[in-house]
Amino acid sequence: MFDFLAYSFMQRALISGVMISGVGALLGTFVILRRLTFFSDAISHSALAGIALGLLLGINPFFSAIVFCIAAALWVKRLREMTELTEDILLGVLFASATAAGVLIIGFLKGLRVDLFQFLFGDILGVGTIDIVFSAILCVLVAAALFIFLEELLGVSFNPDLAMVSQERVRLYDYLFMVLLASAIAASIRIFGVILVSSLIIIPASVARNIAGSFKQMLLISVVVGIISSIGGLISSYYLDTPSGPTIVIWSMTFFMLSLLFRRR
Amino acid sequence: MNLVEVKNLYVTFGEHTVLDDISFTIERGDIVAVIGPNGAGKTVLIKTLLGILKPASGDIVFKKGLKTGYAPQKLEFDRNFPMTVEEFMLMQSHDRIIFPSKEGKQKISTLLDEVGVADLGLKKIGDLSGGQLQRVLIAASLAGDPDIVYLDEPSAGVDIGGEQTIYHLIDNLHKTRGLTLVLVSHDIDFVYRASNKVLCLNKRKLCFGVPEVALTAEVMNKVFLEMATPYHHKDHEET
Repeated sequence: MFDFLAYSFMQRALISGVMISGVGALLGTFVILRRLTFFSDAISHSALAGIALGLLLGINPFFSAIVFCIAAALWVKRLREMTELTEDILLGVLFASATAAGVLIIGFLKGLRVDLFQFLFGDILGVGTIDIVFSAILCVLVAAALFIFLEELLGVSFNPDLAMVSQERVRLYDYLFMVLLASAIAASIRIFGVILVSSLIIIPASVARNIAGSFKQMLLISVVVGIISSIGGLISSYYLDTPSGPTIVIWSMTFFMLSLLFRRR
Repeated sequence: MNLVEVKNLYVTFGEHTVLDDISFTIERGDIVAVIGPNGAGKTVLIKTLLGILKPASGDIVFKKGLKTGYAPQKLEFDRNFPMTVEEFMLMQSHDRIIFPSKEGKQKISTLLDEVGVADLGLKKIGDLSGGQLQRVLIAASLAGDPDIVYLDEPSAGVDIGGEQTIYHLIDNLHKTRGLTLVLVSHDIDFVYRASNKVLCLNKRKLCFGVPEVALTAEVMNKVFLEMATPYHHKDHEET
């Protein structure tokens, strides 16, 4: 029954899937509260340009994607503060131009066969040991930062005016959240791909929002749904011979549909 | 002793001057009522004193180490977001939400009891009625043991009966805690009865002082006639 565990690629996929979906689900609760779903989508698309740039310059694409995602998130945040432009305009510009830049750069990669499909939809079964180590370090850092600064990040997300009165360094926590989100997105690209990564963040948290009676419950439900979807999706993709990333998304989507039946209010 | 001293304060939004040369002082133990018509800049003044908005010019001098509490007029938040009153209070008092301290939980239960909503700790904040939410916001504004509390229209969204209860609560908090309060209010009865200073605002300062003295017939006319000016609907315009 557990014959899939005999394969090292499945072991690696399960370990990284659980880690990434757990951290993504935690961040998702804040993304939902701040109504940043389009933001996480735009940042994940900008990762494509980061990966392509890394391949072009001979840098590890994982690092270049992290740097690019963080830079894109800070660019949007800074420009939002400095100009009258609304966030949806800036994200719309980023979304389209970063994807276009990524595809163009991939076109320049002479002699290197790049599977665009893999970047768009992820390749959890192709995760190497080094990918797991990088992901683990990043996940531990993001989860630790979330736990340590939970109340501050929640305060800034819940109502910035109240946060400004009751705590100092509101902008710092605002930027910290953007950096954490961008880092988690970049860490998830290898597994879930540019297109599916935001679903990993949004759907488990949306399930939790529908049925939780408190913020603590929301965190717990979101993480449990994220992890079960990841494990269930991976195992069923193994037996059904379907692509892993999309199968995981369908699992969490099923949880979302079920949560509508038990929705509070 | 002056807790806050405002000198020649100007606040502008683009080319519009919202507050024009405002000066006044708040002393320990004051209840300062800020009154004025809609769009007079009352909320802008409160938000500027709180540091949420930046003044174009002028000075605001605070007593060193002054601790501030704030209950906004409207709390903009996702009403379906699952956060309990207790979690909201823990967040506002900088305690841990996941593993709250015993003292923190005790303090929150005392605060909720003080504002008369002791039984609402486990209720979702988005499920509260207007009056319940106002009470929770007032309790949250006290969470950091402030010296001064700003209450922006504390009776907004509360029914008429509940309005009196809220003002009674504020009066009580001032007496029992010796708090300094700054509140935006349209309740003239409360202004006369409970506040010891009134600031009449209509972009400019129209009056400041003890209500019985500051609210002269001329000032009352300027402030309240404008407040009572009927809304001129375009459908009723003569053609």
